[in-house]
Amino acid sequence: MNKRGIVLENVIFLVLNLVFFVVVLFFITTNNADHAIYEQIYSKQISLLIDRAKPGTKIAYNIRDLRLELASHLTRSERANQQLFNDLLKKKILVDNKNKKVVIGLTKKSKGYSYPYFSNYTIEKRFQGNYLILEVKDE
Amino acid sequence: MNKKAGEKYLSIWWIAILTIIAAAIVAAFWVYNSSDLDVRGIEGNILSARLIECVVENGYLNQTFLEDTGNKKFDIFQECGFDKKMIDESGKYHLSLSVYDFDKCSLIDPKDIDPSEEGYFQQLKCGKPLKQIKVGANFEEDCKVGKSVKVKDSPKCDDRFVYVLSQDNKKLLLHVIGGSYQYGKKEVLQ
Repeated sequence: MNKRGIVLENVIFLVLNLVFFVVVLFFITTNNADHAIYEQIYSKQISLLIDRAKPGTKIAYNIRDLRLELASHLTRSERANQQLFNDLLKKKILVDNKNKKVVIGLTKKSKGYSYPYFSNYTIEKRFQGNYLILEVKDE
Repeated sequence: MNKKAGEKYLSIWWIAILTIIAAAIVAAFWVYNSSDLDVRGIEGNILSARLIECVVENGYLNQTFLEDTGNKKFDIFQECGFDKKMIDESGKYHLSLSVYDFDKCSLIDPKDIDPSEEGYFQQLKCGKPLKQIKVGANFEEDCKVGKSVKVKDSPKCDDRFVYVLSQDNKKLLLHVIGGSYQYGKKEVLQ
């Protein structure tokens, strides 16, 4: 085999390997399901906090990571619009007093994660900066 | 040595290595994404703690709970702030509270203790409870099995004993069990 042939063979070998690693990288970035873990962790933690709380309790729960994860699924213009972002946050973090569950869904397409609580108290929810404020009230 | 057309660029061994790498990455992703955070033990703990806080005040047992007759009916859901639908009807929770006369309790000889019932009221013999309530699904037996044998999908229970006094200063022993078999689920956000 001449010198040109050896160089070509090595170049094709490198290109094929590069293609493989690009495909793997693409798989990793597109299948990154951090949001699913966040949804599960936060919905369970919030449900447990509600279950343990007595009427009159006010809980300030840091949701900075959740906000960042939600922001990562938005376009730049959506992120820049503070009002839109806050409205979206209210919809994506749901405390359902009627069905007694906490549902969190951070992406536009995929389903959210739901975890029930057994406390019969009414929960009032509002957002204050990086904090989710929960007020536990007797029915 | 002559190589076949394909082997000129990627040998069979190199393809095998790449396949193993790809399979490992996919498997790691699958394990990570399907992992479940188990909080059933904590839920059982919260249930039993809340039940105790509800029937015991300053070391004294709520007299209404002990008597629970006529007009003075003790509604565990109303008094303790538990959602009846969730606890009683969902089949995912268990709550049990037994009140024993402390003076009638005696220690069991350690050699007579059933090792499979470790932690489950095995050290005391108190006779018939003065009062007993059980609500929700009854998976006490499953919890016992889950404690002695490692079963992944068994309910988790928290059982504890509390020494209290009745209103007339009689010594009582409460045996409280709170259990959960709750799993979260994926759900479309409304």
